[in-house]
Amino acid sequence: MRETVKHTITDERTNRSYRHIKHSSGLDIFLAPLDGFYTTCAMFGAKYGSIHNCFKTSDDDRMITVPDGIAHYLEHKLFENGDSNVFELFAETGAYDNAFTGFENTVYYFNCSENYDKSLRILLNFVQKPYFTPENVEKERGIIAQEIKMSLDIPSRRCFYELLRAMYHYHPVNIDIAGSEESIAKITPELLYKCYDTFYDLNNMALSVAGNLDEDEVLAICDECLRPCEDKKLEVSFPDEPYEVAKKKVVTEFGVGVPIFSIGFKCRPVSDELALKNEVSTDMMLSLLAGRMSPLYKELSERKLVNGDIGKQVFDIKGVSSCIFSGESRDPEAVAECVIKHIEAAKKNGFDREQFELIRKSEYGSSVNQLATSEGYADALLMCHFNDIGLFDEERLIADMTYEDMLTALNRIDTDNYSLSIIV
Amino acid sequence: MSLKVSSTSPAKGIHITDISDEKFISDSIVIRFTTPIDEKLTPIYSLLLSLLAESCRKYPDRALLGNRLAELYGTSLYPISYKSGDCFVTGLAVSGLCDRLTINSEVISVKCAELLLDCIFDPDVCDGVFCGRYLEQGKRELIDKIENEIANRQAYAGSQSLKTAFRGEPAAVSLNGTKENALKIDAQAIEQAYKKLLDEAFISVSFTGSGKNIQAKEMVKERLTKLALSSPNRLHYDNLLAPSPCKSEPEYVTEEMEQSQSNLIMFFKTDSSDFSALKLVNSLFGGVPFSRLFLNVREKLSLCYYCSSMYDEAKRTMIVSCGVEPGSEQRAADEIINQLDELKNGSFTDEELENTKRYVKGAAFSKYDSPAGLNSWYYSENSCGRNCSPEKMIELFYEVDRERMSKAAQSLKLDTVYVQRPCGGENNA
Repeated sequence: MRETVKHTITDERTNRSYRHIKHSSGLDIFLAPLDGFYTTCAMFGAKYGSIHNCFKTSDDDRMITVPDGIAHYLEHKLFENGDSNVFELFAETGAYDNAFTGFENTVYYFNCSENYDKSLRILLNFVQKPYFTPENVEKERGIIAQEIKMSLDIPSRRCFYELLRAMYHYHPVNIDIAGSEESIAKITPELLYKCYDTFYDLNNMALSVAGNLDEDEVLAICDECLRPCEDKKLEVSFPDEPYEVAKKKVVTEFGVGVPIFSIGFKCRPVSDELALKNEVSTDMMLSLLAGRMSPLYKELSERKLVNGDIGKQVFDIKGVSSCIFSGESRDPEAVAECVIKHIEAAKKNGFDREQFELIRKSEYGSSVNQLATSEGYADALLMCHFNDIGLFDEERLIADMTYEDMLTALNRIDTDNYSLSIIV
Repeated sequence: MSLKVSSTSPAKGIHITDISDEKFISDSIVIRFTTPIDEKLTPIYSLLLSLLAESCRKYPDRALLGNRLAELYGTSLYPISYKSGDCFVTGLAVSGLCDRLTINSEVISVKCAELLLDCIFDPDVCDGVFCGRYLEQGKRELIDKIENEIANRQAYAGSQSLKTAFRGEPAAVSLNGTKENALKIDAQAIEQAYKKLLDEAFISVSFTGSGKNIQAKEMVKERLTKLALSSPNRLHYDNLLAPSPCKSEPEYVTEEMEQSQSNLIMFFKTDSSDFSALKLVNSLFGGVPFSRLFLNVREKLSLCYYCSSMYDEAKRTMIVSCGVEPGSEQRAADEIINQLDELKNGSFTDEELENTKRYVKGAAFSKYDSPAGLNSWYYSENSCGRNCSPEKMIELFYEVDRERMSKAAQSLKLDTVYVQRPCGGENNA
């Protein structure tokens, strides 16, 4: 058994710090006690999301493919253990508990203002105690089918997923996180156990706790509840994805008053080492390109092409990188042309240097603000770990970002390689 | 606890709340104007506030204002518009980083307050009327918003159902108004609405944050108090309670739309003023993660993904929302009524009641860690004519016994059942 190793990570400028503990069980634990806070938020997550549908471990001799939506189904089913419903266990502590599944991660969490020790025990125990039977798996199918249907009635979400389907030929990012009614029909207790045993390995998981907490108490609970895991040498496989988008344009009939659009520029994925820098620099570059101060926004606004602001998003996950613009417009094609025109103009003429300095200041403010609450802190600690970065690295990166980095980020956009999704 | 809360009413028509805790890392100022809901005027007020949030004389376009906000470390300046009882609450808010966390401790709090006051009191006017630059765009966006209300089916079901539940009351009115009315809005109408709002509306000012922005707070207090004193006819509300009378027989409405799921919304009204018992009934019934609706309609019967309730104290109405498989609306509605009947009959355990109290206690205490949470907590308390701290409210919840719970549940009568279902389905609600 490994030894538990502890480190303190400090941001000298603001004097904030947190603890990173590599627990003997294999789990990475992050603790941020916050002075004067009543609440405690704990997040227990696995690096397992909807895109991990083809994998193998040292127990398998070949790659295994599982039905779409199984990570999300598994998240639902962990809330039921043999003798009780997890929501009822948390009811005894007064905590709010929930979970979410993304493309790359699944996270279970609670937030409370008393009894955090009891809630932490419940969290660690239920996530480590799967209980799947044909009956309880069947029972969940109807609930998840309703969740899928509810999502189909949200046009902005439909627009986003249709865009991903248009941009990506094979990468599983083009599939809804919850799967479809057809795919979830194939999910069985055996498949759920297979996925659980593969991904819910403490070496592939992390725990973050922020707010009102005592480090020794949290670690004592971890010692008591965490079951050591052997590293199973998990391998995940993704299909080769062509550089070009799958479809240039997709129009979905829905019945909205004003069309909703998403324009996605598919970029080449970056290496893991450059992932954070790319994400931060692209995010700042998109603010320069399409923020309220930009010539693009001015033109869209003057030509009455969009309602309100234009949404902008860096969509970077393993093997996938793209820049997405979205909004409401009566003429989405004209918006796409305008966006392309301004990208090309910026490539030729650069950005306003003063604007760059302002954006940097603004981004710094946002990054400090995300640590305002215990939930924000716990979430940032966990997500930074899943992205292989430290909590304060982003602020440092913003401070060190140069004007040239903006141009590098801009030049990753190929204006011939985009898809347009429209909901009408 | 380093939390400090103080409230004052320096003149008729103005209420100021100051909430500070040194642990907070942002400072926010919210200025709210409250007026009665009016079918024609309310949408104009709503448009007016969105215009005020976009420019002022000093920063006369969105880009310049955007630059200024970026310079203030990404400070946000935004309009607010919502209903509370039969009133319309609109206003502007600014929220920025505390001075101690800016680079080299640059003082931005005063600049944020100045910007907020500039946007309210020194708008971008040409020859005395609002400049047309953003008015036309704002109008077009309002019309698009009206036409696009159907886009989010769940939200649309919510607003449609209110029309039946609160028929004949101001709360039934849509905040966006009609397309016909929106087309009639011009610079003069905006100008008149601006003057009327500043002359007549009840003013609420909330400061929430580290408490170190003393100069900024003084500046805002002084300006808004001066405004309140300038008009003798200003509205003054001690509360915004406007209970909705229950119909003698429940009304059932079904609408069809192109959609995948059915949305079921049920309204239960009460004439009881026992707010702490009613809030607890709502929590146990459909407001907590282990509620009766969650455990029975979703977990036991697998009828839906979500089924929850909320209690609107101002209207004394409990609203249940449920997304359900088309064809199962009646089963879901029956089970919802069945669960409420159980609470009416006292068929709940002491453990359920204790767990609910413990949960609402945790939720109330969590407000102490959130500036936004505290801001809305105290505003909502004032709207109900109280000024209870979260701690005091917890005491009131713990005083509620089984008998008061059942009595509060019994006071809830079914008023409206609204179903929005996919086109062509069988009518079984």
